[in-house]
Amino acid sequence: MIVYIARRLLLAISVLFATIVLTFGLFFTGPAKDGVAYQICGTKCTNQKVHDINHSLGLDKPVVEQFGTYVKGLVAGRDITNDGQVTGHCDAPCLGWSYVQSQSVTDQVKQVMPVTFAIVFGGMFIYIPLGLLLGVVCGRNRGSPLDRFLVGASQLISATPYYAIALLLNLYLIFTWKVLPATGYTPLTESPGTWFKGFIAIWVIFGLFASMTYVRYVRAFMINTLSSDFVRTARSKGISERTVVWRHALRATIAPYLTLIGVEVALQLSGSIFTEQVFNVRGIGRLGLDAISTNDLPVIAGTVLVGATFIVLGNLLVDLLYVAVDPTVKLT
Amino acid sequence: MTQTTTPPAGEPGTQRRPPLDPNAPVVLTVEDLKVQFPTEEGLISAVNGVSYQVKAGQTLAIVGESGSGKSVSSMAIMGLHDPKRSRIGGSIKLDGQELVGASQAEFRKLRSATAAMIFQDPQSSLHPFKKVGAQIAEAYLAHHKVSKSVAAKRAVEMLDRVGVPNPDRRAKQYPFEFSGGMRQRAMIGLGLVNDPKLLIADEPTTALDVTVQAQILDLMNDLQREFGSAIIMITHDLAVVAEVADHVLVMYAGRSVEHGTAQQVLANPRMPYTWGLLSSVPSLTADVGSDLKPIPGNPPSLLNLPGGCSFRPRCAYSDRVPDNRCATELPEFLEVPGEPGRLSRCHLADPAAIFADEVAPNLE
Repeated sequence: MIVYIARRLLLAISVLFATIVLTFGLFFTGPAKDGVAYQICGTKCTNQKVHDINHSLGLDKPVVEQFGTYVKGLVAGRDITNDGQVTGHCDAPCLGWSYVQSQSVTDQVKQVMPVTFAIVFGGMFIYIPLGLLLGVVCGRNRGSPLDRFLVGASQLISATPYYAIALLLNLYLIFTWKVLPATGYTPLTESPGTWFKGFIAIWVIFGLFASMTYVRYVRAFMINTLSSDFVRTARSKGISERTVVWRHALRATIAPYLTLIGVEVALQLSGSIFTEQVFNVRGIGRLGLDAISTNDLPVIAGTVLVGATFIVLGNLLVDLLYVAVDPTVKLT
Repeated sequence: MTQTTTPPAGEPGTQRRPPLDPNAPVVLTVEDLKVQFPTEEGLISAVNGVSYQVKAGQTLAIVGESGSGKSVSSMAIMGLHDPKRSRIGGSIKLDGQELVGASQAEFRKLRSATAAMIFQDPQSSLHPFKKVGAQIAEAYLAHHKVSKSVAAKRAVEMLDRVGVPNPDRRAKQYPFEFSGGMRQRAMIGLGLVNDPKLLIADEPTTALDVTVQAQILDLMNDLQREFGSAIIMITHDLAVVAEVADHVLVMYAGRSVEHGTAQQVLANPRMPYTWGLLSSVPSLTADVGSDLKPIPGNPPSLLNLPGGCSFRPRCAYSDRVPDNRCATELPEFLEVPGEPGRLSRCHLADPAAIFADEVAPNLE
């Protein structure tokens, strides 16, 4: 088990290294690299000015050297220089130094992560049980009016762009009907009550939307499992149908469901841009989006790397959890 | 189709079976059982009026190929057909209780307690994520008001009785840690944990290694002697019939076509379908390279069964019946004169003679 985790972590590091090389390569050698200078000097840019700015930021150094500095910063931290002058220090893991904000990317990510975590993990409390519950009910009563309604609704909702639904619900539930309190981020440490209130609508709307996909997954798993031999054996024991469904069939459904959720959660952690944009809270998705619009290369690369880290760790976590729910799987 | 022993035709003996006790109490009486499944294409008639009886301590083998209705009729006894998707008619009397029309709650009370079922594939029939001991204990707990530890002890005891070595340790293992034969033993232990009056075994040896098949059949014979249960053995394997059955019911396309003691049916079958079954058993003494003799054709679709005898399209003897009766008239399931309990469904005037002259010499 420990050997397995160590091996997986090693693998994770190599995946992340590849991500670094790719994002770094794409942004710092591609056509976007002069974008920073243009962002700064705007219409007054001359070739000389662009060159000067690039020089002051160290962007004219060989790419390999820049990359070396970047990786060193990730591992050990580094000084930030402007025109040869040390202007700041970026602690490890240094994800870079934002051109626009004059701040370390790591600090920026740290500022927005509580928002993203709150959205993703809070939403989980809604969609995991809801998806499971509705999925089991549908799978058990396949073909019933309730099943048809839920499957139809879930298909319709999943087929509609999330931002459209989120915007509409945001508009009606919060502003027109005032069923849910307005959203906004207050740090948890400042006022837990306000923090909670600012997230309620996000959790409900995001959770409901996300659960719609899972309803159909769980329903399909359930239908499959309910016709399996071991469920027939369970029925032939003389135990109640409720026990058969919730203890036997569901037990076998949990493992694939978990895999699904784990991968999805990792994706959400790496950027729930729509949710943040629609509900006006700033998480890692918005951070990345803003960086793209201002050509803030270090921030873009930093958010990509953080996102990739979540996905890699999420997959590892799924594998570990899988061992807990499926005794036939041994990690070696 | 795998065989456990040499073809049974030459040794239709039931030496392994104790002599039949005519006074044994009747455990199960099935009369004119019909099981139908309404589908979008039409009504599927999986079982079309089957009748039989099983007595305590005796084994009835129900023989037939896939789709003959042998499993479907037995699942009806357990109430395992979804009431919303099936129609069941006729009468099933288990231990005096009428089961056709019984509620799920009534079925729940007798499942495992009065009638238990062992399934074909022990690999898929046990819950993959639950410990074997716990799975057996659960069935005991469903019918006994005892503590979990008492039930767990009972589970270990059952594993011991069905010949699982180290039952204490094995009870705490998962099915995937068992071999196929051990899993089926555990399955039998699960079936017998509540000492049921009737045990239905649905092809319990089909998914097993040939060497393990015989062990499992021996075990079932031993346990039947010990527990005194009535057994319904569903199989397509005539070698299994020779090994364990007292009586045989041959089914074809949802109908019974032949019934009698194992001795009678194996030695003097009176229906061309049974002859086909016997002839298709691979022989150990035949020349190497000689072809297997399958029954030509396929079983009919159970959707809108044709009139007449269902076996007619595959029957090589139907032209010996005058007036094309095989195509127009369903033969009745009639008792053979002078042999009570011996029934067959065939228009042939003297099937015994045809079997003796034309079929039997080609067996072996």
